[in-house]
Amino acid sequence: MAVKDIVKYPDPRLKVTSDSVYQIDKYILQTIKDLSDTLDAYPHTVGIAAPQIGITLRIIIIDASKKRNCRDNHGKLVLINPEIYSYDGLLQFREGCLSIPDFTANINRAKEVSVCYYDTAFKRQFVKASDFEAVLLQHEIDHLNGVLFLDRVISKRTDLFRRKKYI
Amino acid sequence: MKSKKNYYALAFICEDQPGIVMKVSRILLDNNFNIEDSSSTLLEGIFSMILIVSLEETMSSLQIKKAFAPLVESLKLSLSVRKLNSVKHEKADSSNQRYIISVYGSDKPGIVYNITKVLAYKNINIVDLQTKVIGDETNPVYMMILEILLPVSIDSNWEKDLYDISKQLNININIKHVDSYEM
Repeated sequence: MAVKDIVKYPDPRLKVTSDSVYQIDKYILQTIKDLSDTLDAYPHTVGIAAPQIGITLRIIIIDASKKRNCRDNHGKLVLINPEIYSYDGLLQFREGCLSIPDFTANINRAKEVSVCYYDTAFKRQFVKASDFEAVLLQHEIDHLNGVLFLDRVISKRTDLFRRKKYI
Repeated sequence: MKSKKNYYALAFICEDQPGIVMKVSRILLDNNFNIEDSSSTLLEGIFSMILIVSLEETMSSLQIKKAFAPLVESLKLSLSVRKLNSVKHEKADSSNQRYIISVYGSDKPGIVYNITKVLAYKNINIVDLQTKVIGDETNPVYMMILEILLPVSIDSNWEKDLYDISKQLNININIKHVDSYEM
């Protein structure tokens, strides 16, 4: 059991593009174990990306089943080199991030995503996720590209009200 | 209260024009203020800014007003200054349930009062509120969006009371629980 410290912004590791994983070795398996233990240590946290524990490799773990009343989900999933290959629909969700404590914001995301990835046996897999789990996948995959939810914040007021023109 | 910094609430109201924020923040910078929290928006052509600022040294409200005096004059802005005894940072706290309520209907007096009366009686705290008249001149529609935090103990009737008052006022209401998770 190794719960790692969470890397917090402005740590530069959160803003880089992470490297692909080319083979499963002891180091990768240990990283996955550490990520999993760290994710499990936070009851209100539903996903984690390797850069959040300081390892800039393309590995994420999601667990949408930790959310109350989340009907459609694939449970706890380890995704290596995940790639979103299709997006559909639009959904707004209030997101928070372990790496940016005490701040949440409304973010627009695709309502459905299809993702290809490698599993822990380095076998190619596909997953189609919707709603909360789709938001979660997009948030974590953003981490692998150095994108934080702060990059996608939408202002509340301009989101709600189209501005009148005053002449 | 954090360290021994001094905190002030500054409210600026001004006919809208480009450059207001730049001019205000320049004076804050020149006087070593930090902007800790702020909200600014354009309301019917009036730019309104509320800033919570901090300062290591002490300045009286009068001194702050003097620092802004030339700007008050040139932009014809109104400024209010209030020294704060303490500040509370809003934490992402999962013990209070958070909801977004949207209310809309034909414009009529009392929408804001009647909805917020229910909330006040139930001891529900409003953390954000925005209203706007939308629609056209013949059919104005009043729109209000509130973000609320429920007290830890709340009677389960609060939603029903809001639906009931909305029915009486013949307006529509929508109550959404805001779930926020860390990812």
